[in-house]
Amino acid sequence: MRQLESRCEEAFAIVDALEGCLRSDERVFAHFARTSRRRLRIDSAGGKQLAVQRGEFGGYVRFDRSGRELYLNARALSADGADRLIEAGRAVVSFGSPRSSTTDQALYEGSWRNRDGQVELEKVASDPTPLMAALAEGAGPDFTVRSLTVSEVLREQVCADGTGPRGHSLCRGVSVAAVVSADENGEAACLDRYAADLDRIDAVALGHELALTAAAFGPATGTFTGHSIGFLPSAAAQLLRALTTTILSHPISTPEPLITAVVDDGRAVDGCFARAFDCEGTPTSAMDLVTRHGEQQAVATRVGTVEGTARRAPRAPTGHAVWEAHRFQPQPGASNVRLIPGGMAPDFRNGESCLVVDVRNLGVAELRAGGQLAFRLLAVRVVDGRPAGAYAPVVIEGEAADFLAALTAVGETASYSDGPFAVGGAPLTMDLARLSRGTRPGSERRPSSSSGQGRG
Amino acid sequence: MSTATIATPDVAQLGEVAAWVVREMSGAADYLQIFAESTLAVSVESMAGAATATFADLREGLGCLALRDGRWRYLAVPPGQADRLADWAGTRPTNIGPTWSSCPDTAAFKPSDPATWQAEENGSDPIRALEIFTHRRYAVADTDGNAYAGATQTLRRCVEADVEVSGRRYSGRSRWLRQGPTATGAQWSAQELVQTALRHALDSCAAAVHGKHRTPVVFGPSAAAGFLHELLGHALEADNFQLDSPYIRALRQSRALPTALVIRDDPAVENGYGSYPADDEGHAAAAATLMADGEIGSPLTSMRTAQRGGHRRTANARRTDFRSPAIPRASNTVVLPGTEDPKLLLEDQDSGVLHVGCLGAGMIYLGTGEFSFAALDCHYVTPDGHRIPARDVSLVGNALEALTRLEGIGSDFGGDNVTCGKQGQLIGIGLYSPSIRYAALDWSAA
Repeated sequence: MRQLESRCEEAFAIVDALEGCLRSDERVFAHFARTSRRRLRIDSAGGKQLAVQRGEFGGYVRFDRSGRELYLNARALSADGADRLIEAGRAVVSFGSPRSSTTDQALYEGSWRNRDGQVELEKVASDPTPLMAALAEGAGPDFTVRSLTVSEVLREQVCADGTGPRGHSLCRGVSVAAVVSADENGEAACLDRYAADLDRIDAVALGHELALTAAAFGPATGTFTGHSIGFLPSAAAQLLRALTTTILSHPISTPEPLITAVVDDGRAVDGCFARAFDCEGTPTSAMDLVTRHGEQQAVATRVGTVEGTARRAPRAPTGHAVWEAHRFQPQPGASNVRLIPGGMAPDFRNGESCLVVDVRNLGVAELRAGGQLAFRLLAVRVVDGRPAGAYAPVVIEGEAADFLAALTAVGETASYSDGPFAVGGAPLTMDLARLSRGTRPGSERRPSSSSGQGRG
Repeated sequence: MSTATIATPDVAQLGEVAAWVVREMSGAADYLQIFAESTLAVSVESMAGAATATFADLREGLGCLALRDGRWRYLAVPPGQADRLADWAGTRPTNIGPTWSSCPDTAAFKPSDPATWQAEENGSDPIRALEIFTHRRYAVADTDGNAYAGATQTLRRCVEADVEVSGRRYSGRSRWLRQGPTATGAQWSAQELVQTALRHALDSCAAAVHGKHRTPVVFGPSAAAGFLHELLGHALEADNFQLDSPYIRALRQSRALPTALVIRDDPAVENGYGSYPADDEGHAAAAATLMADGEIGSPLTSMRTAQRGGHRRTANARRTDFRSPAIPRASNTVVLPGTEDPKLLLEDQDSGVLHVGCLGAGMIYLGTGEFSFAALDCHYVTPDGHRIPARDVSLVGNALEALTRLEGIGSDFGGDNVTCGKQGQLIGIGLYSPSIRYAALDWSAA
């Protein structure tokens, strides 16, 4: 079987080529990242397929001349293309912004990895039975595992500050994705779990969540009218992703005590984006984005800050810079976000509960005028751990702080989900009655006007 | 309506490169299409009157679409790596190809002084301004003898204003766009953009309608086109149309679609964000009817989707850049004006009306037609005619039901420029329409 290996020397060769193009008054900082995958797919009849995606390095080059700097997009840049990229930079560097002060910025130097060795896909390929059996056990007798995909994922990044410090960070992990349905024509559910290694993934729990999700996709048999609602780990991750994105554009202004804290851990071993430094080369660490007091901590990049509660701002970059070319410059973002366990651990195996399997955000957080969020929830009625009919979709609304304050229990993180940043999914319970401003299901139907907030 | 094309010697050079690659590789596949691109986009951002970041995106390379043994394949390579294409296609170039053109020229673009963006009124609030100038040059050639080479220049300005009240931040936006050789010299007013964004932000602060509602909804000019682009435009993109989902089948068979509604996709709108002289497969721009006389039109196609579905080829093959194959996309969605007074559309003696100024973002599930959209710049108009701002409005419902509730088309008309995503590819599209009223939609506000 082909293996996934680091190719950081290719990225550093591009940096060398860039350096070779520079004039005496020019300098560059570069950040390149890539993702490669080895994907083993196993169908219900035992057929196997292996596919390998190499992934090309891409990122940006910060080009600096005579006190002016600009960002050059470097998607899939090769050493051969370095001269044309620098030529493009020179053509427009006169529009560049004044060079940002970097006196407080510490740059990572050296090499880091989240784990040693390779993921043993070969073992799964030669005998997938134990994994299939665990999934089937969790799914229960009424559901069938239709397919299983096990992927080794390698993410690596390099940063180089001209001829100065150079950093390399490598994150290796495994994802287990499965498809489950009640019968061949029934609604199928597809979910995955990610961790640094296979033995850190609970396949039985994944099978159980798949069965509940498939059941929730079926025709609705009732309407949920209660207040206490549970979230399965994948749905909890969807919710946490939306909350995190929102607080990074609309910070929490009024803290309320929480039973949990929102942590961003740049080096979380099991996080999809475990990394030693951010896209500006600033070392990462674990930090509470929102504390148990409900206060938001500030994060900063070289050129931007998301202020915390009471407008607190850090003095130096915090290791939260994320490169997205369509945003034109590194943005304050997150790496691996999760909730700290709190309250009584949710137990969805005993008694009756309403469990959310899918959370759809009704809108895009960055385009909201205020911090309000609306979600459409797909949920299933569960009795003693077994599905007992889908509920009609529920729409809930509130601000990020409202949703966090409404949490009544948070369990251990089951898995991180991939995306623009990784989010941990943990079983949650929430009291919908604590969501504010009467926007809960069944509230007023006719507009009512009230006095609005004036402008300060 | 017209779309300006800029012809420069470098565009011809790109055309030569594309034609040369097709000639050299023509025996290697049953069909070959080469897309050669050399684009430079420059964006300059300022915040609170100071320059904060400049960004340049050089997009240069060749995209090769090949049909061999009944299978379509696509490979993109940077300039100077035509030999990689040849290796991929299993052939070898026999000649040295034409030289790649120089970087696109951005000399016509002069970013505004950051101080220009300081608000003359309400000057203490931070204003974020972004100017994006894109000089896009592209050429297409294929083994059927089709060839096209052209260029476009686009200047887009976006403003975001933040106001803070009691520690909470509220934002408002505005934008401006011109296309063609005169784009950089066009008349515009920074203060107009700033004041519009500030007004939207202040309205958000003053929002005083909360909770869930069902009322008549009037989409203002351009917002109405945005709504219909989501409900109908995406369904009529040939790759989506061929899914033949229950929603799309219902659209084809429905006898309840509004007969007064005429919707076109028109890539030749002057200064349209989605305007071009030819699409990204070299097909000359021409308008297509999406809906008329209560029936949907034929789908928007690219070369492959037209062949696969047996549909008429329309000029809607678009791509973000050479790295991706072209797929069927909207250009500018244009809804023809009606006859009704837009002021009368906003009247409702019973439950009042929600007025949507701008459709923010959202999604439609093309399987069932279920949609959810965020709306911006909204006001609730009370039964006695008072306008009350509504913030962070969400619209949810079923597309087919919403279409059958259309009850009025205004005589006004307006346009906007937005970005639209599909399969990971972001492109610019134009939205042009009158105000349109729907009898009842479900919405909620913060």
